[in-house]
Amino acid sequence: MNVIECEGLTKQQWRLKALDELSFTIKENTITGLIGRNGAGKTTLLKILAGLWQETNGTVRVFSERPFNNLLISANAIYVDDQMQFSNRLTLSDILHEAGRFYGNWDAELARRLFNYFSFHPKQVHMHLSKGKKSTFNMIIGLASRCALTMFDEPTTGMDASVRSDFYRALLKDYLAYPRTIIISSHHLEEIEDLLEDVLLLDQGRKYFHLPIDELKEYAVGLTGRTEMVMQCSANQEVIHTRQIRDDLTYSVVKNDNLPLNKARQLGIEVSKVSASELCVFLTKKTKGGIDDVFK
Amino acid sequence: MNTIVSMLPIVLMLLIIVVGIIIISKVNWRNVAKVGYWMLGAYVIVLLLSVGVFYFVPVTEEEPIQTPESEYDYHLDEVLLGERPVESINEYLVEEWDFEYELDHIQIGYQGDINNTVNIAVERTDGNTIKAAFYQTPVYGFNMELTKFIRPMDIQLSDDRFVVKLPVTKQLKFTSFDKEFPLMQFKDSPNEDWLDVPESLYWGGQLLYLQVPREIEINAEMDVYIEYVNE
Amino acid sequence: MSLNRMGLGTVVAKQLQYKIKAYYGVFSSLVLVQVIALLLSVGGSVFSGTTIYGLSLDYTTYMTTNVIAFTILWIFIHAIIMTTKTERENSFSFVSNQLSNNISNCTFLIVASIAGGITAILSGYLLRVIVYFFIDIDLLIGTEFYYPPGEVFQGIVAMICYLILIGSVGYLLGVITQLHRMLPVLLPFVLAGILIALERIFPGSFMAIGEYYFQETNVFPFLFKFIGSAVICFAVAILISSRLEVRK
Repeated sequence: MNVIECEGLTKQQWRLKALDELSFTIKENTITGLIGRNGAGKTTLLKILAGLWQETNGTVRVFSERPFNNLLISANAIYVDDQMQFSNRLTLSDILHEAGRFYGNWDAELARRLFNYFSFHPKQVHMHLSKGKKSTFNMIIGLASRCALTMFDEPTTGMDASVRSDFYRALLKDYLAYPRTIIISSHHLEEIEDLLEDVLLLDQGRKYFHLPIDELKEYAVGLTGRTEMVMQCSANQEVIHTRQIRDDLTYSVVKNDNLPLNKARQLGIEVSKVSASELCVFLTKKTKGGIDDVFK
Repeated sequence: MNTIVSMLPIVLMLLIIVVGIIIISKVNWRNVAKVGYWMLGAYVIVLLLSVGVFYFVPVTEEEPIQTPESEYDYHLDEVLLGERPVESINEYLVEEWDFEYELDHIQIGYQGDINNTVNIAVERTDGNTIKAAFYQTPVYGFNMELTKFIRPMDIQLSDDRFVVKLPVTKQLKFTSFDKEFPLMQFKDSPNEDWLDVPESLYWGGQLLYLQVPREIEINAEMDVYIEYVNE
Repeated sequence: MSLNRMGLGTVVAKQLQYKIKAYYGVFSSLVLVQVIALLLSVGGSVFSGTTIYGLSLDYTTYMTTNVIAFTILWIFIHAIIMTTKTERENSFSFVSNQLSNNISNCTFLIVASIAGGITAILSGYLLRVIVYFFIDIDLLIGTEFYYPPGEVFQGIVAMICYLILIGSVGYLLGVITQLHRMLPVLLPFVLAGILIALERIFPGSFMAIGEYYFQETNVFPFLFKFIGSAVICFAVAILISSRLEVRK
């Protein structure tokens, strides 16, 4: 069953198209990574899916309903980001209590345990939390609400490394115990790639690809070798990225589509794997060359 | 007493500030959400208590008194101007004085609060007695007959001076309440004059009527206004 | 995972409960505002200096019009505060849509109006008791001292209606200012401009509007006018905000 169906989804913000003719579907009980550079439209997409924002064009269906201003969606889809606002007149434990009244699947026990584990004080006020603490608290809400569609937008903002890894572990454990549809947006794909089943890569509001993570790992290979050899080998292939390492040494990332890898090895080219996160960075690079070219 | 009354709001304000500070410092701010409702609850209890107390206060509803026809106001003036016989105002007579007088001249003067001068009407008579009569028409105001609060005037005769001792001004403080406009919303003429001073005053009038033998020459001191009725 | 289906009514009830908890400040400020207004009323308004023959008359009137004016201001300000971005986003951190949020806000304003209306009118008793026991009184004019329960009840009903109407107007204005970020600055001028223009073009219309509400003496037309106008304001506010996006 598809939890999310988007067809030609467009969101116009002033002159800019934040989302442009986006079409994809997400199946029930999967963890999808929403990857893209800053401004690729990740947040916009998630806010539309959560029913907070309205689409300009195209159709979007969550649980087969249009999400905007929809109570069913609001009750079953939670959107967690670092901008979440809670009344500063309520203490953290009040907020958890209130969340429990609103979300039907709320797991108070889990919330309490996470709350204690991350050593929150029950009488603290959300507004006074540090950035990382805020993100951690919001994450607790996101996990304990057990919404059928749970969306985390840059959930680890401000968290330190150990809390980050705790969070991913908690997310995975809870997901395994209570499967649901989860979308995590991040630009740190390397951190979450072990969690993910699918990756939806956005670039300038458009879908770049939507692939299972395993396919993504095989999507491309890196070729390092003498420039002519690499050129020869990647001729007629889709070159994603090329970098001159030394005068006569080139590193190219080439789409792994019937590549003659054995022949390449015979030509003295070193074939390496390209990690999913590196690949995504290469894929969405707007211009040829890198930051170094700016300073040339 | 006055100063105490004027201090009261300040004292109350201070008291509330002090109590407020004590509450704020004592309150467990972590339970702050409940404070608002405690305050409301305490306030409502105070209000309900005051409702209870109010109905034990021995003040009952008064009917607005019937203010008299206003024409009597002119009666004293008419007597002063000789247009009406003095007998017709007998109902307003407050006090009478009789003096035996031998000299051939008399000086009439005031003593006391010069704000409370009265009109003096003089009727020339035969005989050797000076008669004085003081008339006062009723004063109404603030839903009350106020005449009874006016201190009496007096008359003294010393040698050739006829002294009208004017009364000391009595200060009256009235306290009243106004009903707030929502209470009058469903009355026939609501919210039209809810900010006006509601009571109108009936000032009343005074007249000192003297009967002085013809032979006596009358000298009026400064400020004394005399009308001769039958000349 | 099966979906949780929550009806509008359920969500509104939950949100109202949440708001009553989160907006405790509304009620503590109500108490503060009324206590301050009462303290200002304890001085009374003094008309002094009438002097007639033998008498000098000072006249002090006590009334809680202060309390009523302050309470009206209080509901107006809180109605506007409820529509601000922060408050709106607070509500949307839990289950909500615009409709449920608006309805629960309106319901909350009505609850606040009832609390404000009852306390504002009952404060008249408190003032009378304070003046009677703590202030030196020479002569009490009893006509308006007496508070017939029937009149008090009517007063409470009328006051609640006033508060609901003012609250709904404030709420509508607040929602309008949310449409564009320049509006909070512009709206007061626009409103003043409209009122001045209205008065120029149709002289007396301002008074007529005042009389339309203020001088209605019959209970049912009064209720109809006040509640009807409030419902219209709330409905327009709901219509306007139904297309608003949250967490912009």
